Amino acid sequence: MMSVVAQIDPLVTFGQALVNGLAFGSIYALVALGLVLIFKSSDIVNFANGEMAMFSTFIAFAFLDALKMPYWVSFLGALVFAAFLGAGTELVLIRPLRKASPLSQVLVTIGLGTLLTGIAGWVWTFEGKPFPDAITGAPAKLGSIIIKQGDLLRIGVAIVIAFLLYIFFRYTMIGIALRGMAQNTLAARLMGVNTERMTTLTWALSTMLGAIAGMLIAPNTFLEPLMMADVAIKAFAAAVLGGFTSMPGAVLGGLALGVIDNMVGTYLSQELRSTFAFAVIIGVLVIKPNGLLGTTVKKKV
Amino acid sequence: MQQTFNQNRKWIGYGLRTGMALFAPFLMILIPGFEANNYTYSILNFAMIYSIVGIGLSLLTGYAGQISLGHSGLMAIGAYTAAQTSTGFGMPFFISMLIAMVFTGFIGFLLALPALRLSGPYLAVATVGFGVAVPQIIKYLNFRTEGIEGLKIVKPNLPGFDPENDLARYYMILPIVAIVFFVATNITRTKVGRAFLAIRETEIAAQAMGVGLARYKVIAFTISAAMTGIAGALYVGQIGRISAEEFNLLQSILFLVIIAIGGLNTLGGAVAGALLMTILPEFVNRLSNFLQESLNNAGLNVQLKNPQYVLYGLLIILFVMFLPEGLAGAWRRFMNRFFPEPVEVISGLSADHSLQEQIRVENIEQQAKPGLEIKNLTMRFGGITAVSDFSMTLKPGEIVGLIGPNGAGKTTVFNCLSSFYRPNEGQLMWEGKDITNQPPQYKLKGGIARTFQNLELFKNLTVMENLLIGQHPRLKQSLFSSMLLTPATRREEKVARQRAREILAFLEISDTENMRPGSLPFGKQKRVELARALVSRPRLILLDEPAAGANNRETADLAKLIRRIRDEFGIAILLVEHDMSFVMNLCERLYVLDFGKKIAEGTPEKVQADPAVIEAYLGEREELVDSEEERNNNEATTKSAPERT
Repeated sequence: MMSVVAQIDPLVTFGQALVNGLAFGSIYALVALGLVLIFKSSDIVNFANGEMAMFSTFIAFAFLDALKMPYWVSFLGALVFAAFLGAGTELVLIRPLRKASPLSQVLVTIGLGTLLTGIAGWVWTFEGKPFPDAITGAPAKLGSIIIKQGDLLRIGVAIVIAFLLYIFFRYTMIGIALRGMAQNTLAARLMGVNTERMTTLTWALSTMLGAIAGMLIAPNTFLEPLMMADVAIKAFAAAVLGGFTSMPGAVLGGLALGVIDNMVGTYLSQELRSTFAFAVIIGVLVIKPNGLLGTTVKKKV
Repeated sequence: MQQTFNQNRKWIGYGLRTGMALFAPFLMILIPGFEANNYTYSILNFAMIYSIVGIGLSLLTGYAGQISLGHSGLMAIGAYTAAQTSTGFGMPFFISMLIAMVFTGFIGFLLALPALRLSGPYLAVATVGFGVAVPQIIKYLNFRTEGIEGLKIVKPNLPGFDPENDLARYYMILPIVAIVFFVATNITRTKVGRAFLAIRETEIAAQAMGVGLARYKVIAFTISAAMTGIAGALYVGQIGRISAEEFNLLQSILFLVIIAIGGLNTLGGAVAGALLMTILPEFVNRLSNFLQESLNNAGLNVQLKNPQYVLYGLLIILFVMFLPEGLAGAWRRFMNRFFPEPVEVISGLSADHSLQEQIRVENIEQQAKPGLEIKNLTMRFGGITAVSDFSMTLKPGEIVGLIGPNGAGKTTVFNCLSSFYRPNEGQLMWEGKDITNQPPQYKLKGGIARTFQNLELFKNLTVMENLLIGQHPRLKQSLFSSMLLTPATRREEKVARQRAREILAFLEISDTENMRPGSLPFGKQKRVELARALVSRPRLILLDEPAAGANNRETADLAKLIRRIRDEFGIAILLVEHDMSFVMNLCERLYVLDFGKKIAEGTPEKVQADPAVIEAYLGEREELVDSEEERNNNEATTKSAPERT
């Protein structure tokens, strides 16, 4: 591995690692955004995020494979399914546990994730399946750096979605209501915000983000029930790195983690990739216990 | 007969559990589908090994409230240490296991260090990172791994038995489980365990009770890791080989599931959860094989592979939603329903004033010392100066009031005294010592207790547990004496309970002993908080709005009570209060704050006549003069809402 690297222009090696890192990081960022959205609205870390994304991707696969639908129909079908899956999870599992201990809330999402994995395994087996790229074609070149069409798409989609979310939270009534709710649920309710419906909405939105991430990464990883396990952990770490309460932090954390991960893989060690990535994160957290852009909530007495 | 049974319930329970543990392999083969062979016994052995992890994780996550998704990493360290020292260096397995325990405990100690600064999702990610990193590092170091089979070791067993005999090995593992269970139970029943609970409930109150957060988090991580290290050693001993891949995130999740299903706050639950999570998958495997065949015979081509995913998922969801207290909770409810616990009769305690006397004598000895002295205290928050150049004194045994309009900075003074805030300028002296920069957990030990305006009780613990935590810094037991429950510790615990009961009787809330403060009315909760402050045997109590939310009669009773606390216990009182008649009647001296500045001080009479005070309370002047009359007209009036700081 190292010997191959040594023969290539170091700048190209670096550029390639950067591009690959950003492509992976875009996926982490999308999933991390979903985690942060849910955490802000319901104070829960959704450990089922990755599996919900995986399951939605399988729905797209069912549209493509069993129903022979075109890609974009399948894509939209999966998004609609994801919205219902997210909203349904909130209504059936999360809402009844609103007053339960944080650990119970975390556990129920772990339970859901495990259940979805099992069901997907039963319906679609645990063997990897190919999943098509949304766009195909010759890879773009930036000097000697090769950028696959799929990677371009991943980075592009992440940028567009981050921008859309920014507009949504900044300028739409619903977005502003959501932000208000995240700061003070009671005050938002007193202002006439239907906080329950808003919470359901964030779960739907977050699951749709995950589904997009799932469909974007499936061509790379093969489609199988455990395909999001690694992505979900990385996205979780990314959200924490950025600060679990900050949406820009989630994007920043996702991209940073993708790049760190690939740089470590390229320059230090392929085997210890995750170890170094987590060492960096823990290091950042020890210095900034609320992540890069997170805010402290200190209780007063 | 029923009566005798109820009284002996505890002992019958012990006997039943011991019997079940001793004869578990024979009970196991009574379960349909399990034959008397090594495979069956190996399942039982895994259940025992997971029980140890469950007990350790229960202490850390269930009791101390620190979530860990990295216990698979700890188990891997224990397993590799044992394998390396036993097969690699040729040590006896038992010694290897002890080394694994110590080494894994040390790693747990290191793992605790980032955890001191992190909580919630941040802590979870740090532990996930640890769990992911350990197998990667082990693989990278590549030590003594032999290809795909992993590292092989000679399986340990009872002396004279075949290494492959899993039934004999059960009796090798069982005493180890029993010892771990014994030690963990002792921890949960004494000072250290209560400190864990306090941290889980509210870190602020825990610190105010003298529980050092860092110290007890480190202890929790270390003990939990050491136990997991033992389990790792036994695990490799049971399998005879290891590979790093086995210790993954799914395994860490399984450990959490074990304690969640068993019941988070019970050690017995961890054992029950481990048994269920090892035995049940066997059934489900068989059931799904059977289903698979039936479906295939019916012409449906379905692959029911890896049924454990669906099983774990469903179990977790069902337990969390419908049986959040877990197996242990269900068992307790069943027992209470059919064999209710005999009601303990508490009698003749209110007549015993030994504690009052003791505290009073102790405190009078301190009378010669200077009391509290605040010199030029200034506290700023950003651009706002909450308290500015404030000085005051308080002599031992004095009752002093701190009053002022909303936002005057009264509670800020309290928070500086309790070290929740670090003052920008000034000095705090207590009994001749500078306590300005002393961490919050040392206040109680130094003799300063406090209550909070919005209550900081441990709402989910019993009143008794609250009062025992209140005595935390007074208890002399060490970690080891509490682990082993030495006779001295046992005696000390008994005395502590007795003390708590005396204080409850003094405050006339003996009936609440076994209730949870969360279920009590506000007035009683305030009394419980006062009791918790009193039981720590302080020389000064800071009362933050003791009369808030109380009606007239309650306020009058409270004033009498506070005076009695001073007279009978010799404790000085510094209080913040809005109720003017209460303050004027009770306090010997007053300090008046307005916008963070002292505007008056002296006797109530002098302060009431002070023009600056009248000015500050402009529009409220009437209340100062006519409050008595107004009160009598309106019996049910409640006092001003708690002030915001």
